[in-house]
Amino acid sequence: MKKLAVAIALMLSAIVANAADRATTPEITPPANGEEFLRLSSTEKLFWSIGYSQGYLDALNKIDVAAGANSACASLAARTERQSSTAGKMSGFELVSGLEKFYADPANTLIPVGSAIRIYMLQAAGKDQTTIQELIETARALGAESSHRPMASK
Amino acid sequence: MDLRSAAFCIIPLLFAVPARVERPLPRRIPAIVPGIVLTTLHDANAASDSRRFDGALAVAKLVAEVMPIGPQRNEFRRSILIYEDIGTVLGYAMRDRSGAYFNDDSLPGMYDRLSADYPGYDDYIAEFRVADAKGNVLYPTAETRKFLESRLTSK
Repeated sequence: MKKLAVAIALMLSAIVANAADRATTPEITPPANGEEFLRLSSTEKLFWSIGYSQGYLDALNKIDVAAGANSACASLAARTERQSSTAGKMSGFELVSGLEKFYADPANTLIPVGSAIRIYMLQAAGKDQTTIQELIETARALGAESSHRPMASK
Repeated sequence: MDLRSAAFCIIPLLFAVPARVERPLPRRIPAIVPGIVLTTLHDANAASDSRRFDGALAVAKLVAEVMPIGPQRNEFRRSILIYEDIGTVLGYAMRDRSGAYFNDDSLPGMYDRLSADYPGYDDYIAEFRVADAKGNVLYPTAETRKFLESRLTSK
């Protein structure tokens, strides 16, 4: 009987701990585009942005390569880094703010979040406006197309 | 036209121009105008369009000046006061690099003032506040705007 009481008490405390965890950690459905991103609360946007960025970083770090010094690979690596990186580091707060501003333009709402992040990072890095505008136009077309496309069957 | 008659034409205009700049609206405005201005403010805030919002807020203040004294004007002025706070938060959210969140460093005194002026703000925003890596507490601008907007409908 004593063992049963202990087991019930343990089970109840586990349920309470689980419920407390769920209360502090929001369940986030990954947003596909601006429409879905803007529907999230600020906490969800922040948690999602940090999780997405961390996952992206981890995935890139799995590519185990090293360009040889003074090789054609090294110059290509330097060019790619210049083209895709920001002027400085970006915090999760800045990423959320940047996406909110980007999606404040109603014409951008269908742009996939991945494209929006890349465009915002290039904007923050001071990339020329013509290139940014071209990227935005392309992303808008792709976003509009993907929103009309039926969901792929699994 | 001789000089004297030209002076008679121009001098009244010189006095009239500054008066027209200070009071661009007539003394009496149609009753529908305050409603239109409030709708514009609401829509600009919903679209996060701070430039349109600032313009509409400036017009709203002029409209309040020419409205006849009474409960309708009091209600309109109350809405303007709330929209002024929304405007401060919206302007910061759209202009600052980290505009999604604010604290006492980025918007000095804002949190204390909102807590003092709007009962319930403190409890409402507690659910959404976060802390950065250094332990600084930050409050979201989007939920703050949502809360202030809900104050417009409640009395």
